[in-house]
Amino acid sequence: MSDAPNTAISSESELGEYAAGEAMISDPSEGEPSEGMRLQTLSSGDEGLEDVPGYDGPAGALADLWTPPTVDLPDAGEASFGPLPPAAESVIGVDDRIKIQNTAEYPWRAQASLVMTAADGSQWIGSGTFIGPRTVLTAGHCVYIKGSGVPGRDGWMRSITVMPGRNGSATPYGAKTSSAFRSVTAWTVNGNQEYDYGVIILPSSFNNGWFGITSLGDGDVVNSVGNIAGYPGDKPAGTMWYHSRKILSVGPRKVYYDIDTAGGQSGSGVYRLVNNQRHVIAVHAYGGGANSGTRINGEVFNFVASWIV
Amino acid sequence: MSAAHAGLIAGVIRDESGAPVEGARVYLTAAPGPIPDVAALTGPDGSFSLAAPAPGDYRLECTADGVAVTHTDVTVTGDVDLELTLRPR
Repeated sequence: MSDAPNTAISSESELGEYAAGEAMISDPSEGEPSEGMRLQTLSSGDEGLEDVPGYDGPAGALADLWTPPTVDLPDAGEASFGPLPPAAESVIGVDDRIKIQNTAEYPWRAQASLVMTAADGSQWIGSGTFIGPRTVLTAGHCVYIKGSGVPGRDGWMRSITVMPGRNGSATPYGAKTSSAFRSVTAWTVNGNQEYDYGVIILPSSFNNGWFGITSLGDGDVVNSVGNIAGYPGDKPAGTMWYHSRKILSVGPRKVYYDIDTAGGQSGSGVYRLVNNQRHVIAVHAYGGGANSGTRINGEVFNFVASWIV
Repeated sequence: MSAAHAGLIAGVIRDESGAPVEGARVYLTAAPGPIPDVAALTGPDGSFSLAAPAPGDYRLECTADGVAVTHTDVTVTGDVDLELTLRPR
């Protein structure tokens, strides 16, 4: 895969030069819920996954969590992943996702249900993770459709409605609609799946909190437990589901895992939980074949960090 | 890996009476390779269309609140046209 010149692109006017961050980590925040909202945050387990009642965690996968890498991990890209199976499913083996009930509490309120309206008027569902007061990280294909094969569909979404902490018909923080998006030309022009990420800029804040983002080395990524909370289409409409498993492998621009997902979870942040701090390490984008997300590498971090408002 | 296109999986979702279902969620669960993990919402006429990025075998699922998940398996060598009926749970 060649590294074609890649620049930031906006659904609005031209972007200015982005400022590269010095540190490859941004801080999370639990937010300031509006008056009347119950201010409660959840404690987490000590194994890198959320402490959700009834959720036992990734069975059989915890024995070697959070140990430093014992071998030199080559920067082998896709070679570290190996060939794709001939066919596979987004829910792998037993479906042990768990429904989140207390979606108005942190960290769940930093996750958002998305309803996207494409240029041709078709509607889609996806997910996103707040990474700033007005900034929702999501997949590139959630903000810009590429290669649809349908006349008039490709291009920036006409609008996206963002509902943090949605729980079925309940939207504890309400909803905001935006047509301000950011992505990179390697996705919008070239349709390269390795650059499939973007953000939604909201007109105002929900004060619901956000996650940090971080760019980690290969060893730290593969020794992480990946956590995903999002809004899968195979469950009752607008309900949030969570699952976690150890990361399987990593390439320069992709992270692979067998965390269960379904259509509608594109854009969920794949995050790790350390010392009760949540940082996104990838953006979930693809199911089938193997579940994978766009890695927050140094370049992605710099672009995304420059978009946070 | 670029956003490729081998065919379009399109169709209409109906209820048991034959009426089109608006707002049903349609998504792919198995594919010969990576597929964007989004779901389409059917339009007022029950229609949907999803891109199949590569030739091969796909499983398409559809659901809406109050009905059972329905699935169908299709082989994509070009465009595919489907009609699916949702049944109460």
